[in-house]
Amino acid sequence: MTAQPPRLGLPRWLTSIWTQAALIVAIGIVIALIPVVQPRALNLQRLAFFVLWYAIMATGWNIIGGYAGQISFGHSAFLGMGAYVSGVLWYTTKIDPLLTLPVAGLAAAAYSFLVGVPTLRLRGPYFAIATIGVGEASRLFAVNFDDIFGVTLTKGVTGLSLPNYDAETVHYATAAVFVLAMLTTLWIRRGVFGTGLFAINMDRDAAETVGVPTARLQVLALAVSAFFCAMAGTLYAARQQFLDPASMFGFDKSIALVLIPLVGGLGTVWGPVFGALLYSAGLDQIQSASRNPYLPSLIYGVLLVVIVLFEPLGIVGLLGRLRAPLGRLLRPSEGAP
Amino acid sequence: MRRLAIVALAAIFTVAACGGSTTPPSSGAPGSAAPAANVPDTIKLGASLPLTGADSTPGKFMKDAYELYIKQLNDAGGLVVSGKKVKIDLRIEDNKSDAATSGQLIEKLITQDNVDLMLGGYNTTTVAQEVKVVNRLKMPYVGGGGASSSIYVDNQWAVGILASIEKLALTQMEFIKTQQDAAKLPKPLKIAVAYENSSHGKEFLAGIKQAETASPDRFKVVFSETFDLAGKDYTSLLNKVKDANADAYMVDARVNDYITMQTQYKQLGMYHLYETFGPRGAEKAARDALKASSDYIVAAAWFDSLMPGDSVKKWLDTIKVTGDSPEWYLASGWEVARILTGAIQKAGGVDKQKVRDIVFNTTWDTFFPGGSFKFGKNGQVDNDYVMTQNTPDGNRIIIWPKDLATGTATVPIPKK
Repeated sequence: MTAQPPRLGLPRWLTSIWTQAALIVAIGIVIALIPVVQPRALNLQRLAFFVLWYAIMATGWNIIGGYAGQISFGHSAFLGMGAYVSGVLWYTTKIDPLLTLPVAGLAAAAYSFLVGVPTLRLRGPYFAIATIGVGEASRLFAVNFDDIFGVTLTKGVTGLSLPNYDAETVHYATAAVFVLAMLTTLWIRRGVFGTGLFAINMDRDAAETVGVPTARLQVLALAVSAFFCAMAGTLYAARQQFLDPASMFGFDKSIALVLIPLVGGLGTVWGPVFGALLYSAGLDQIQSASRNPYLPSLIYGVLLVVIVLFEPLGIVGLLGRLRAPLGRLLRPSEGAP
Repeated sequence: MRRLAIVALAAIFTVAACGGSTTPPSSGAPGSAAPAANVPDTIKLGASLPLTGADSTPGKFMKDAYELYIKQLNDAGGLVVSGKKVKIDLRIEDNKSDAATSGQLIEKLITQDNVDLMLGGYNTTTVAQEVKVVNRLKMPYVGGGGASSSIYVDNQWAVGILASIEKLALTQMEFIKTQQDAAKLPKPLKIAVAYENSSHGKEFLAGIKQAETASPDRFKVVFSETFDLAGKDYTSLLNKVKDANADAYMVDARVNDYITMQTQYKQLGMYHLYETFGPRGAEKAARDALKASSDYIVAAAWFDSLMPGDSVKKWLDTIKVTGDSPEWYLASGWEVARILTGAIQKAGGVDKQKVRDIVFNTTWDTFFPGGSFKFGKNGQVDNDYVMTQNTPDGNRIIIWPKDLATGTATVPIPKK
């Protein structure tokens, strides 16, 4: 599914995992410093949050969808689960929502195990269709949770209004989770785990023949993927302080998580980041400039068609074609084992 | 070309950062009068409304009300603030009937478009998200599209001109008492309640239960069940209601669900002595769709254009140009715009804290029932409701409160 472009002859130090990791950390620090350097740049903080938020989720999705080639249309289930686990814990026990980040991630990872074991046996479109069902079932479960269990926790379609929380703290946490997600995906991409996932992506039967534990790797990839989506859910809950099932478990979120890596560069480390930049900040600013709510979707749709037709590696692929140092650095196979 | 595209992509961030607000919402000391010299030439008001999606009909009503009110102000030279005529720039965004989108749009309106103050949106869930955002950004917000009390928990910066849903239910129960005393309805009245699966619906049920607890000799809830929004088939629920052998059928539903459910209610040949869909029933769209099937349905709403009084007549003459049916959404949007611009005038500018304090502490004249709005500490009003009943000629009459009544209620509903 993901083409392997040729090596571009860069110095090894430039494409090494350490250089890339340093770049990720540097980006994280620069973004984290926005409220410190520009405390009044609320708009920049808003844009930065949503770009990182989408980037975290898309990076998570990319591990199962881009690396392993299992296209999931149900990842909003993990986003929503993370948001609601943290939101409900925060609301009921007054625990700081950011402290629940790992709890939400682990809960979603456990949930992904439950849904992944049966669904990951399916291939291609059958897996995709099954994940649509998982997303929708999760939404309905959240809507009816209170009635099913006779409690008042999710508050159904009305939504869960959460206590106030400092947006600046969430900003720092988001930058930290972004760095964590990027380092994880980089490590996976460059390691044996990633090689196994790409082997599954290219030919699952052949991978099994040579001893790749395909079932185990896919379930693990889905769990890691769910973990980061759920953490994004926690960050959203802390920042927006309001959750409703239609928004958190909505199919539109699942679709977005497919489109962002596709446009940015499916199966690449940096693709989800570029995709999130375009999907969030780019479309946001196009809408502002045009004052037309439909134009961003139109532009994005056209861009999607063009990319699918001419550059399967999306924006990262375009950058790679430039043969500029930055482009070569970001080229996915550079430095790969 | 490709280099250009990449540079443009990178520039998006930069332009956004530079073009947006670098100033957080100001919070000047209350009571400090803004001198005319500090009054801006233009005041920006923002709103996020459902112009597409499930709530687009009420969203359009509110948009029309906001635009007409601001147009009238601007056509007259502007809003007079501290002796200076100020133009109003109204920015309305489409939230596509999605709460999360609305929250993000509101934040964008405040941080990037630098709107000075916010007009409210529509739908309990969406307004709840909006209220969280304006509280975080300390932005005054006057709303007219969300009635659930859950919206206003921990709220400091938003006000809403719609009284609570619990009060809606209690108003209906008070009316029913008068019908019982007139021997038109039995005591105790056996009630079947169906309510939408939302805090709106749950507060409706809570109001009825509260009345039942207070007057067990008058009311007995024999059935209560929730239903999902935007349902297509309510026959299972309706059959349970049928089996409950209730005297009254009381529902809390949105307009589309009301139309669907009432259609199926009639198809099943059901009948009750008293029937209501909470605040729904009198909407033109519903009456057009249901025709005689909606006859005699009782509704309790925040406003009705049949209410007597010169201010209502004057408003009706004014909003004719929109071509909209003069329903409560339109009236609510109008009053919201009037209160916010009135607060700007009283504050002598757009100082956030000052406008907020004036909105909260002023008793505002209105053509809504009660004649005035006084916001409680949580930001919500406690005004009376006006009750109507649909008549067989396709019209309706006001049946409650007594001093506004334009006719006598037909209770029990005639059995055809």
